[in-house]
Amino acid sequence: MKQMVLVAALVAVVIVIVFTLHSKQPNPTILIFEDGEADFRSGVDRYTKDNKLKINPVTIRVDQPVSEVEKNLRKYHSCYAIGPRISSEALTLLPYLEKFQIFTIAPLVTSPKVVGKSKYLMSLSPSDELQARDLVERLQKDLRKSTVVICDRNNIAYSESLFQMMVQFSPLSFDCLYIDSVDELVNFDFSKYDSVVLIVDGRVAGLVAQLALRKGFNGIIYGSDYAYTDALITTGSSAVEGMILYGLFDLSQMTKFGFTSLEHAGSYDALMVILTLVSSKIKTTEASNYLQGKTFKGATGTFTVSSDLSVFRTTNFVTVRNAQFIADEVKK
Amino acid sequence: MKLATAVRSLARYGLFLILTLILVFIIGFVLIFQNVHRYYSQTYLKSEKQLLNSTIENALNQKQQANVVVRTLDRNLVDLQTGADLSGVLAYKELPWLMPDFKGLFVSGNSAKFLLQRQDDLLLVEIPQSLFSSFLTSELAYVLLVTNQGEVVLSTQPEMAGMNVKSKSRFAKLNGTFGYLYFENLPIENARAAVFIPIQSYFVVLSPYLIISFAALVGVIIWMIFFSRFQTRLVGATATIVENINKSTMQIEKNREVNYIPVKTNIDDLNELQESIVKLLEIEKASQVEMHAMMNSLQDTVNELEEMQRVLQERNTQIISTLAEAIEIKDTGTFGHSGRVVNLALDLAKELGVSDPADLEAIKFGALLHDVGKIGIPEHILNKPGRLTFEEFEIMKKHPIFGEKIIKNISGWDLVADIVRHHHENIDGSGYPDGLAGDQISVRAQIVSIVDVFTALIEERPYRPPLSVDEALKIIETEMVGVKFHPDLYKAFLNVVKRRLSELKL
Repeated sequence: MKQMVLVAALVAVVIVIVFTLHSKQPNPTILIFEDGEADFRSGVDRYTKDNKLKINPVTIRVDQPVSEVEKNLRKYHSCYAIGPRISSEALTLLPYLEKFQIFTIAPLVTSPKVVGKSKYLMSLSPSDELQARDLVERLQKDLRKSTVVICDRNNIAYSESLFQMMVQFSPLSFDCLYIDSVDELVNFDFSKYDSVVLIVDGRVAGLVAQLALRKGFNGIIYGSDYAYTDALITTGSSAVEGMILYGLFDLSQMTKFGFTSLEHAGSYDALMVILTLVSSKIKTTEASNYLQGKTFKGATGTFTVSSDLSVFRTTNFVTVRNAQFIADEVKK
Repeated sequence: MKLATAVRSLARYGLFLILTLILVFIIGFVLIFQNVHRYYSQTYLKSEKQLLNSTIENALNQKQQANVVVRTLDRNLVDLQTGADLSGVLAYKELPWLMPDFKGLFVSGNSAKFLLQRQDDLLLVEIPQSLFSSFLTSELAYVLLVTNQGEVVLSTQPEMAGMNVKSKSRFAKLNGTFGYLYFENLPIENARAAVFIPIQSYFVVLSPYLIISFAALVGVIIWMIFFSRFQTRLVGATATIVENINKSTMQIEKNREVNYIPVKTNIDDLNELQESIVKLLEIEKASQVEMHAMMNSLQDTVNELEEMQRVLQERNTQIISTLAEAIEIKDTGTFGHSGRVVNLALDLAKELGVSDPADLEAIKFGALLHDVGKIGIPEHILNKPGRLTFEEFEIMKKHPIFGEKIIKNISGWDLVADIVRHHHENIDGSGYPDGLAGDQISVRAQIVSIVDVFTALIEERPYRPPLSVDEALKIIETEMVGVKFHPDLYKAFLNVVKRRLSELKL
């Protein structure tokens, strides 16, 4: 009898523990697609800290063989994610997002080859078409006559489409170079151009800017949103002073939040959107429909989600002055 | 020791065994865990150190290494190849120095960047993540290269690059995986080698030990449960059986018929024990029946013997009475005297509180045969109508001696012989044949003596008519009390006579 009472007590304790664990809302698992160059985690950590939230962030490297990425994603079916950094990575990732119903917000991905192609990938940026048009207009406004566009071969999906759209919108022709490394430009003659457009990562952009100045370039350097990173200033140093960059986000709002990096601010807002979905108990399969038309205000400014899961937002050009990004002009 | 106590002791030993197993398991687990940890950490960290050392050595010796980028910088951190000023990206306190920034500078993706001194120049050695991952293929542990501040620069698990894991060896959860993080210093400033061993890796190695230990523990627990259930059944069944046996024993003690009904248990031995008890009781019952029959038979025999004894005693009495009558026939003047003395003597004995059967029997037969010695007295003396001469009386005084002599031949009749010899003694010592006085004369002899005198006085004799009771009593009271008889004896005798007289009147 005594033994039976003990067994019953043990079973009751186990049931209570299981029930407690089951009823306890687990911290949501948020995937972070990193590639060794992005830093979305800082924005995520900042958001959870500001809002005193607990999540279970899991980083997945997308710069690995596809099979390895697939193996990792398999474990996180129907999760929400942030990233990847660039469109090329997003393009590779897209089939697996569909397969495993993972809804991701890639804050800086803008390529039309990716954005609008799946209900599982959203961007916090306006479309590349707008950026290409704005860049061309800016070149025209600054009366640039000879322009070389330097593209990142490692992010071909983005850089190629953006360049082609620039060509499409511009009455002038552009020279174009695809590079893997700055070393490929050691012997390039920059001096014959009055403008350089860098569609490369900020770090490479800084090095190219330095190289260009050393090679006699004295025109204006422009950069796409891709070059708009803190690394641009640290690597470019004085060579990037006066450089004009396309700002995807509202710089004043970013400054208000203390962000200088688009990645940080982007991942901050991405987590904000995701946690809105999680708290509303929206499944990843329904996130797309839920978000369309919704307006958010975050560290990147105020934005409204469009039907192709890009956003409508205020964009602006920024200029590097005294090793800082300064808002140049505002355009809707 | 009671069964329940013994069983509880065994249960305690079982619990002790479980605790010992758990203790041994914990000690074994800790030892194996430590060895696994030592093996992984030392093996992987050794490989990491080899990679870093060889890479730095090759860079210093200007040996080409696949995938490793080596740039020559001047003292102002200007890349000599591109002329790019890298002072905004690179900085150091001492050399060799590991840069804390994990993002690649001249390689895509993340990388570890070392600054080394070679002659007057500096070398920037950039080891990409891909090289690190491919060289240190670790299945069960993650190898990390971290700064002193704990920033992960490289990791065989690329997801960890960029994380801050602090720089203290401890259990930690990294990127959703729980495990042990272990650090060792490197001969490079600002750099530490680390290995993160996921807890699953320990369990992969420990699984056989865990399975065996768990199986042993489960086995012991199952055995304990089985034993406990058996204990409950055994103690319960034993208690029931003991109670049953006690009830049966009480029935036996009350000489009631016992039908032991065995209690059905799951323990064969106890069932067999009960069957043995049933057989034992059946044998006992049969023995009881046999003994009862024997007792009945014995009782019949005793009854027969008692009947036979009674008959024999009756015959003895008849023979003795016949003997007494024969004497009385010889002594023609005293016919029926002995019989009357007997009845009155027994009444007086009871009045005096004599209750011993041997005394009463002696009084009975003493009274009946007190004058048996007269058989040796010549008839002419016995039946002489007139007063006896001195010589004749002297002969007559010998009849108690003759009587004793006759009676003494009968074994076991010493008391009767005493009465016969001394029924003519007087308390003042004037009697015959021995002249005893006071307490020297037995009560038995005195009883027969007073009754004999009284009866003789109320009987007719050839030389006188019978006296009345009162006359006889008066003679005794006046002439004999204090001389021949004790006053208390007379007093008792008087009560008996009065009672008899009152009975006769009724």
